[in-house]
Amino acid sequence: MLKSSPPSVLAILCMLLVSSVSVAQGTEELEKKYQEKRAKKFVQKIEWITSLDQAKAISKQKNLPILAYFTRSYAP
Amino acid sequence: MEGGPLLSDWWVEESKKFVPYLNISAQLEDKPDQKLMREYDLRGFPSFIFLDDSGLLLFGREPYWRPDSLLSLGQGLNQVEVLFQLRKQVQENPQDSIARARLTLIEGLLDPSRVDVARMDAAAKVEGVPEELVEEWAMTRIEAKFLGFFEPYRSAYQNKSADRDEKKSAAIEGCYRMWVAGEKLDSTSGTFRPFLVLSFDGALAARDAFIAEDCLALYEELFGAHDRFLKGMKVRLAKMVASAKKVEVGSIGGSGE
Repeated sequence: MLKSSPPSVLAILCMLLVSSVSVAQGTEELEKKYQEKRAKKFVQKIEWITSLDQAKAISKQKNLPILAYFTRSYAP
Repeated sequence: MEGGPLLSDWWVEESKKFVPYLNISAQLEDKPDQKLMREYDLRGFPSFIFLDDSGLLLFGREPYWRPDSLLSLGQGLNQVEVLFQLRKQVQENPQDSIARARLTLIEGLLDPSRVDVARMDAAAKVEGVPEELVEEWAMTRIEAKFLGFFEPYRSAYQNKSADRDEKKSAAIEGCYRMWVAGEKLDSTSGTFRPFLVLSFDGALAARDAFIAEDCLALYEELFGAHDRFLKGMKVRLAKMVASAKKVEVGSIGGSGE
């Protein structure tokens, strides 16, 4: 009769290591894409505010509306 | 947008009329305002909206608006600037009843779920208020009245608040009263289904078989005979009618003694 052996501690550690490395790589890739987005020409063209709280404070001070542009960096 | 309109000279020039705020969804929690799109119920990219300094959405959610030309940006700016001018006007001269009424109506129409219906009605009666605003309010009024009952209930239910049963009772009673008064939502409204169900519940609670049957017939017509809630609704109506008959028979029997 075949006896199924429990997964070894080493195998579990390897799996955890592989998954944490891939998460880290994923985060790194997302960070890279985010920085690429921020470096785009349109971002440099005018002075965009990237915190809504700050935008609200300027809006109040200058009595101007806020034009919010929602875009993404993780996908094209 | 990013390779064209947002690089143009007209964009740069017009950007002096607003505070440009950039929100980049990055799937990274450490980046700013990552949950903001959900707060404004925005579902697609790109999205553009105008806000005021309190974060109130002023323009641009539905239908989705893109300031991809000077004309399109101007249309959004014009609407928003009217509101800013009115606020300034009212601040400088609080006695200006027309400006105050216009402001009440414009701000109320931006978020009908939070309006004070009586205050909006009073504003709509002020002489000199633009007719199109009054008409828009007339079309929105019933929906706003319903949302005044429904939103507190929905929110209490979502947050599992202790007072959710109380809010539900208020919503049921409110919808039933609206139905009795002939203030019915348009059946094409996105919130017609909860309105109909709550009105039905209200009719059952009031032992009003006539309105309950009316609601049920309309429900079946709109959502089909195979709707998963229909059978339960029919059973509840039948029970209510049967218990009403029992009371009736009991009271007739009792009167003979």
